[in-house]
Amino acid sequence: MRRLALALYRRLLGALRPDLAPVADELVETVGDRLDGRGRVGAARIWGVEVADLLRGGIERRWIAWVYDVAAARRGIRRAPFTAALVVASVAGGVAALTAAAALLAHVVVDGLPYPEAHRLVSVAAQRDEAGAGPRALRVVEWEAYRDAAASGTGGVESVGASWRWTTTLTGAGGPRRIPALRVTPGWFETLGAEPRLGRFPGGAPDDETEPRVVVSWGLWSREFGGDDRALGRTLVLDGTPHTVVGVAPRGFRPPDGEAEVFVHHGPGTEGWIGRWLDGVARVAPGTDLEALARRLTALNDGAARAVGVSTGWSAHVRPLHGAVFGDIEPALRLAAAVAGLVFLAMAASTLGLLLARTMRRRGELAVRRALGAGARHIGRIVALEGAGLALCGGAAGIALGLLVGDRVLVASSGLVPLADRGGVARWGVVVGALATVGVGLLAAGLPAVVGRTLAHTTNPGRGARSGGPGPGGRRGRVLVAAQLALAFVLVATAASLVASLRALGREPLGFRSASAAAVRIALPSDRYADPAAVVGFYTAVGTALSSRLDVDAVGVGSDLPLGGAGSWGTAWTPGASDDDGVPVLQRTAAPGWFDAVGIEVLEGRDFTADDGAEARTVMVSRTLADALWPDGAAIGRRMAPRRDPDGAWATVVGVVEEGRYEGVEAPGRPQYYEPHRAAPWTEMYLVVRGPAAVRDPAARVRSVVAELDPQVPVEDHGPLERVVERATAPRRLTGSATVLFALGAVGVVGVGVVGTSGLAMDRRRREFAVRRAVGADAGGVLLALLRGTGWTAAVGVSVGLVGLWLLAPVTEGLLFGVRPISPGAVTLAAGALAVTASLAGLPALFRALAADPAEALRGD
Amino acid sequence: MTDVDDARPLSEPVYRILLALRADPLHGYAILQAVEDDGFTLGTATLYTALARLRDDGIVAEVDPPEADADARRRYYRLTAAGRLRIDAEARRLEALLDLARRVPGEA
Repeated sequence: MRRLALALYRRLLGALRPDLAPVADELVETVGDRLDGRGRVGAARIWGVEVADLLRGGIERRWIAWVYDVAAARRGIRRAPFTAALVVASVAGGVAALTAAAALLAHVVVDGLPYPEAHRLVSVAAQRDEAGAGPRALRVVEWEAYRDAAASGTGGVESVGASWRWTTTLTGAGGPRRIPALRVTPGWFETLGAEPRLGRFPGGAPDDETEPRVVVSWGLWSREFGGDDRALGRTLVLDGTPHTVVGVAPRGFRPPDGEAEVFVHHGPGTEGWIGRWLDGVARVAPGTDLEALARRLTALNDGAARAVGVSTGWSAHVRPLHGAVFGDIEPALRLAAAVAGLVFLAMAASTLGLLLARTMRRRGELAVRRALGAGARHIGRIVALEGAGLALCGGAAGIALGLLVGDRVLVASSGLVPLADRGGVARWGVVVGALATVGVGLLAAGLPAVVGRTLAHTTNPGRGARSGGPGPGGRRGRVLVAAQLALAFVLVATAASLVASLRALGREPLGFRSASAAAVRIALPSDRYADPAAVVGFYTAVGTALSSRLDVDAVGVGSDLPLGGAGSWGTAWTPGASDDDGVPVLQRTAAPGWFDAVGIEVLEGRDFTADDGAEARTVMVSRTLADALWPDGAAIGRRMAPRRDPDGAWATVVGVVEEGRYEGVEAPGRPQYYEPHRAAPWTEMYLVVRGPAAVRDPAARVRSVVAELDPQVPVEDHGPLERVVERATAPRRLTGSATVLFALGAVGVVGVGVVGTSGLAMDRRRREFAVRRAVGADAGGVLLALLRGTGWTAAVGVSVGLVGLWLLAPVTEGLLFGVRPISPGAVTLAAGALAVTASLAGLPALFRALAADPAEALRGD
Repeated sequence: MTDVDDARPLSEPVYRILLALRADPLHGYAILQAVEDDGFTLGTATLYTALARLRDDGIVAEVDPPEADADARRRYYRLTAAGRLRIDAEARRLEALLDLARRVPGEA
C-alpha cells in the first residue's frame, strides 16, 4: 500500500510540479518517511494532506505562469496595433458572415415547421394530367375522398385537413378592418397537431355543419377580448356575417402559408363550400413512400369525381410540407451559407497569413527570450495566447455583428422568409458563431505557436531581428495568397453574375407598366351587395368620382393584380372543337379602363365599354390564347367559351391584349381571357389609379371617395405597382445583395491577407532585392522581378477559382435569370477587382522593400 | 545573493524552516519534524519549493551528510550567514510589529 501511495504521489508530482523534478527522489522519500510508523488511517490522512499541498502548489504555479503569459501576450499585441486591428476586423467579418447566413439557414433546415412531428406532414394538391399547368389547389370532391380514406384507414393517410386563404373584413368598435383569415375544414388543426388554447376546434358538434363558427388567434383574442375566457360564445362580425367564437388557437400558432387572425369553420353545408379550391395538408405514417401515396390518392380521384359528375383526369400531387413552405427560399439561403463559408475560409487564411507574418517579424525577440531562459513551450504559449486573444475578440464582435445583420435581413425580407418572425435565430447564430470562433481561435493559436517555438530554437539571438531565418517560407505565403484569391474570385464572380441576373430581370417585359400607378383592393360586403347591378354601380361610381376629383390618367377595376398570383383556371373551347382541343386558361374579370390603368396594351380590337356584359357575351383574350385558339391570327369577332358545352352561350372576342405576368416576374404569361365586370360582378376587386395622383397617397384619396359612398366598405392599400414588382423580385434581390456584401467582404479579407503575406514575402526577399540593387538593378527591375512572382500566384489563384466557380455552377444556376453561372464579363470583373485589390494591398510592403538600404540588408544576413 | 537588509516579510512556513535550521544542518524530513514539533503542519512539496528558492537566494546551502547518516538520497541543508542575518531582520520586524500592537492609542 505504501508503495502504491508513493507511486501515485510521484505521478502527480511529475504532472503538477515539473519544477521539482531535480529533488523528486528525495521529496518522495521524505513523504515516505512521514507515512512510516502510522496506522492506515493516519497514513491516509498524511497522504491526503501531501496531495492537497501538491495540488495547491501546482495550481498557484500554473496560475501565476498564465497571468505572466497573458500579460506578455497583451504587451505583444500592443506592440503591433495595426496587425491586431486587421486580425480582429478580418475574424469579425468572417464570423459575422457565417453567423448570419448559417443562423438563417438553421432557421429553415433545423427549426423548420413549428408543428409536432412536422416531418410527417405533407402538402396535397391536384394536377391535371394533360394540362401541364403544375399543381394547384384541391377540389372539394378530392378532399372529401381523402378525408373518407383517412377515416377508414385505407388511403395511407392518418388525417387530412384543408384551408382556403382570404382577407376578411372584421367589423368591430374601431370600424371595419381587413385581417388575414383562413377557412379551415374539420381535421385541419388536428392534422397540424395543434391543441386549442381555449374551447374547441369546430368539426365535432352536429350544428357545426351549418352554423358560422370561428376560432380566433391568440393575438386577436388578447386584443379584441382582452384574453378573457368568456370570449367563447361571443360574436365576431366577418364580412358582415356574425360568427360564433368557439375556440382560441394556441399562442404562437400560425398556418403554414402565413399569418391568420381568424379560422372560419368550413365544410359541407357552409357558405361557398361547393366549388371552393382548397390547400390540402395531411399527416402520414413515418417512412411513407410519397410517390406511392400520390398513386393511391390519384386512384381515389376519378371515382369520386364521377360520383358527383365533375371532370376527371386529376392526379394527386404530394410533397413534404417543409418543401412546400420553404422551397422557394431554401436554395437562396443555402447559397448564402455556402458563400459565407467561403468568406470564412478566406478570412481564416488571411488571419493565418497575418499572424505568421507577425511571428516571423518577431523571430529576434523570440530568440532573445529563449536565450534568457524561457522554454520553447513557454514561448509558444505566449504566441498562441496572442493569436487566440485576437481571434476571440474578433469572434465576439463577429457574433454580435452577425446577429444584427441576420435580424436586419429578416426584417427587410418580411414575408419572404416563412415564419421569420417566430424568433430563435439568435440561438443558432450564437452556436454557429461560437463554433466558428473556436475554430479560428485554435488555428490562430496553433500554427503561429509552432512556428514561434521553431524560430526561438533556430534563430541566432544576436542577429535574429535582422536575418531571414528559417520558418514559414515564401511558398507558404504564396499558397495562402493563392487560396484567398481563389475564394474571393468565386465570390466576386458569383456576385457579378447575380447582379447581372437582377439587371436582366429588370429588363424582362412584364406585360404591364408599373410606373405611376398604384393599387387598392376593395371588398364589398356580400350581404348588402347581393345585387350584381349594385356591385357594378358602386365600382362605376368610385371610378367616376376619382376621375372627376383627382389628376388621374386612368382608373380601372379588375379581379387580379399583376404579379398577384395565377387566379382561376379553366379550359377554353371554340365552336366545333374536339375534346382534345381545349386550352388551359386563366379566367379574369375587368371593367372598362382596367387595361389603361394597369398598363396592359390592347393589341387588337377594343377595350370593354359600359355596354359589354349587358346582353351579348363578349370577352377579351390575351395574345397567347388568341394564337392558340386561332392560329390564323384573326381573333376579333371569333367565338369561344369557358365550358365544353356552353348551350349557345358563346362569347365574342372584342379585343386582344398583351400577356400580363400574374404568377411572377420570371413566369411567362399564360393564356388568359377577361370577362366584362358587368357579366361577372365580383364583389372584391382591385382598383388601379394611373397618373400624377397615383404618387400622392392614392389609398387615402380612394378611401375618402369610398367612405362617401359607403363607410362600411374597407379599402386595403397595395401601394404603387412598382412596389408590387419589388416584392416579386425580393428573393433574388435578397440573394444578390447578400452575395455582393459577402463578395465585398471577401475582397476586403483578401486585401488584409495580402497585407500580411506580402509583408512576409517582402521581408524574406530583402536580401535578394538588396543583391539586385547592389549589382545595379534599378527599382523598376526589382518591381518587374517581383511582379513575375506574384503574377504566377495570381494565375494559380484565379485558375483554382475558375474550378470552384464551375463546381458551384449547378447551385448558382438555379438562382440566376438570363445569365450563365460562368460568364466572360463576371470572370473579367472578378479578376480585375482582385488584381487591383492585391496590388494596392501589397504596395506598402513593396515600398518598404525598395526603400531598404542594400548594405544594411546584406549586413543583416 | 539576496539583500538581507531589505527586510521583506517572510512567509510563516519559510520563517519556520529557517528557524529549524538555526542549530544544525538538517535533511528535509528532519525539517518537517522540527516544524511539526512546534505545532505547525507543512507540506513536503511546499518545503522543497521553499528550500529551492532559499538556496537560489543564498539563504540556505546544501552540505555533505554527516558520516552517521549513510543514506545518500538525503540532502542536508544549513543556514548561511546571509540566512542568519535574514532571520534576525525578520525577528526585528516582528518585534517592531509587536511593539506597535502593544502601544496604547493616544500615548506618546
